[in-house]
Amino acid sequence: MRYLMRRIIFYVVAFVATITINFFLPRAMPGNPAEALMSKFGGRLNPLALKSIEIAFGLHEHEPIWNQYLQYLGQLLHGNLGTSLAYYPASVSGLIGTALPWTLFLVGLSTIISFVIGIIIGSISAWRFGGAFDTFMSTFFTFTYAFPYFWIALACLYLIGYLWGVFPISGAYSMDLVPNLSVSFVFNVIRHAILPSLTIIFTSVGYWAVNMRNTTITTLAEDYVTMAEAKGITLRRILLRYAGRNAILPNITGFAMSMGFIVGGAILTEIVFSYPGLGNLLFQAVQQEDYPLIQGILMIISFSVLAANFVADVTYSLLDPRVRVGGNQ
Amino acid sequence: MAENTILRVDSLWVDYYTRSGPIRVVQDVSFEIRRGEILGLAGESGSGKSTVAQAVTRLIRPTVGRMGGDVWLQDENIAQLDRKALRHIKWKKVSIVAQSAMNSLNPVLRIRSQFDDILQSHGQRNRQKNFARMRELIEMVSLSAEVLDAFPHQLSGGMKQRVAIAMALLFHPDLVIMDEPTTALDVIVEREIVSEIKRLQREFGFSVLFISHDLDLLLRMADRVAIMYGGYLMEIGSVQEFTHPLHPYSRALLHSFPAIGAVGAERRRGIPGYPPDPANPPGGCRFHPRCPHSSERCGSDLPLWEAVGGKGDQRVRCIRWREIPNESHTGSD
Repeated sequence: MRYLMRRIIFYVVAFVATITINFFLPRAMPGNPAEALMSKFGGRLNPLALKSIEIAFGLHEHEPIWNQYLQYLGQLLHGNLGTSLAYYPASVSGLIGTALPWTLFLVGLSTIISFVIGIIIGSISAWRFGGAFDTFMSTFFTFTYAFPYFWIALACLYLIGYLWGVFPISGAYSMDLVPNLSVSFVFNVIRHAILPSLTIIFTSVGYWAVNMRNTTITTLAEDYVTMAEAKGITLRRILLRYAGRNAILPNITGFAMSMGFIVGGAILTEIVFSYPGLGNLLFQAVQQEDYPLIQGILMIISFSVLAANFVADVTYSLLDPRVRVGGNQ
Repeated sequence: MAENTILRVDSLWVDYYTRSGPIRVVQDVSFEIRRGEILGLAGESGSGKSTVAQAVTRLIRPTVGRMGGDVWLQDENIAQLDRKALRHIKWKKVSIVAQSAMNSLNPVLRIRSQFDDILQSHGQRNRQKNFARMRELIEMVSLSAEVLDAFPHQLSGGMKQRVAIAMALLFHPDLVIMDEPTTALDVIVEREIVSEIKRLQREFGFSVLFISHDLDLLLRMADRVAIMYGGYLMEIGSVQEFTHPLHPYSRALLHSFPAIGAVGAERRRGIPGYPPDPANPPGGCRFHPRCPHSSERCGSDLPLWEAVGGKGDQRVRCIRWREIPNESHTGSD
């Protein structure tokens, strides 16, 4: 348990550092949101308007930066991430709250499916090292992994979605439907998710498969796997408890990292398929220089990366007894 | 096969696959192990002695290499068995203590689960009985039962090797192969482990194939000794017969160890030259380029595995063994 406590303290410190940087970074940039809005109108606004926009955004009072920082922390504690400029007067937390579930659903599920398929195929490849299956899969996955994502996404969108019309090409559900929990709505959501999800899986499964194949090949050469064979242990046990259990360890970290980045959304996917997730929202926010929204999304992303790493630490310590240094013995 | 023969290896060969094609690392290896006997197998690194151990237990993966010849374990030819029949024999009739016990235990499982994996794989599912058996074995190798709840990284090298020995004795096998079981240990722990092995072997009467590069250790603990060089067995015989070995390589090996009780800076004679490259071995006798007694014929004729006789079933692979003057190995001329 001492190990877990140390990790928790580390993550708390890391999170405080993140929100602090998140506060100071936009303020270190030249200009302010009012000026950004002014420049959008390309001088067609009266300079006096700048003054009134600044007052409206609360930028006219030049409070000391430390006061602003403390206010910011106070607001964060109340879950208040401010008001969006681009979607004024919607609150940032409200916007994130609507987009986040879609991203978690689409990217999260795709990542998990991709990981599971990759791990299984990678293990089989390693066991049949040098065989036909392995040769084909290794080549195929190196190819898919190296594929430019935007190209495959656009090609799928055009061919499968537009020309053949098998799957819808944009959105998370049909525009004429009201979100509810009926079977037909859920079915509609799944139909919309298939195309973006397939493109994510297609380009990411190779990463897991190739990694798992390599770690398994290394593990198979370990003495304890050879000895397990000498002991007449059943193939299923050797595969799962001796080879697989040890070979998957390095992949857990990679998986947790990517779980953290899920929240950031597969920005390209969400843009290409106009999916109403967090990645799309971030893209819009950046385009419209919506600082509070950018700040809010970045905070959510860094929080989830930290959280995912924490989960990885805990899982890793459960799977690998050697990590439980000074643990509960 | 003679009544009291546990293992008979006949014309065993092993190839390893390399980028430039298969290379022969073990060739024409034939020997027997009798019931309750310790056979020591000595040789330099790369002589093929560990490969013999792996071939005898069919641990050479088809992706890595291939083997041929006969390996009779009592009345079953291990070299010919299919996977399924093989799995049932493994560990019940022949078990192994590996080169480095450090790495022969699964790092993520407790010792008791590793015992359990073996027992369950061989159809023994009674938890209480299994646990009792583990306790019995672990205490037999002078460890406390708490070791069962430990992970491998929590044990010292000597403790891990004791655990490995306990595991090897799980099903009372007829033959235990020990592949340099003490190489990774310091001399004091090595002595403890060796005397532990001797004690258990006397108590249970299993046979041992003890592989080591330490000929001196083998001469102290084994009943018979075999010498390997460049993939071939060069000589086999009883420990007594090895006080006057017949093969020039055996003699050279004996001379390269300091005699026990030697005083002062006694000069040891090394063997000039290097072991043969298995990808490009010398013709004829593998040892002839380094042999002080080699003649022209040694470079062209492959010597036979010739029976000398005697109570150790002494055999030697040298065309000149009759001609070479006999000398004592203890002298330091």
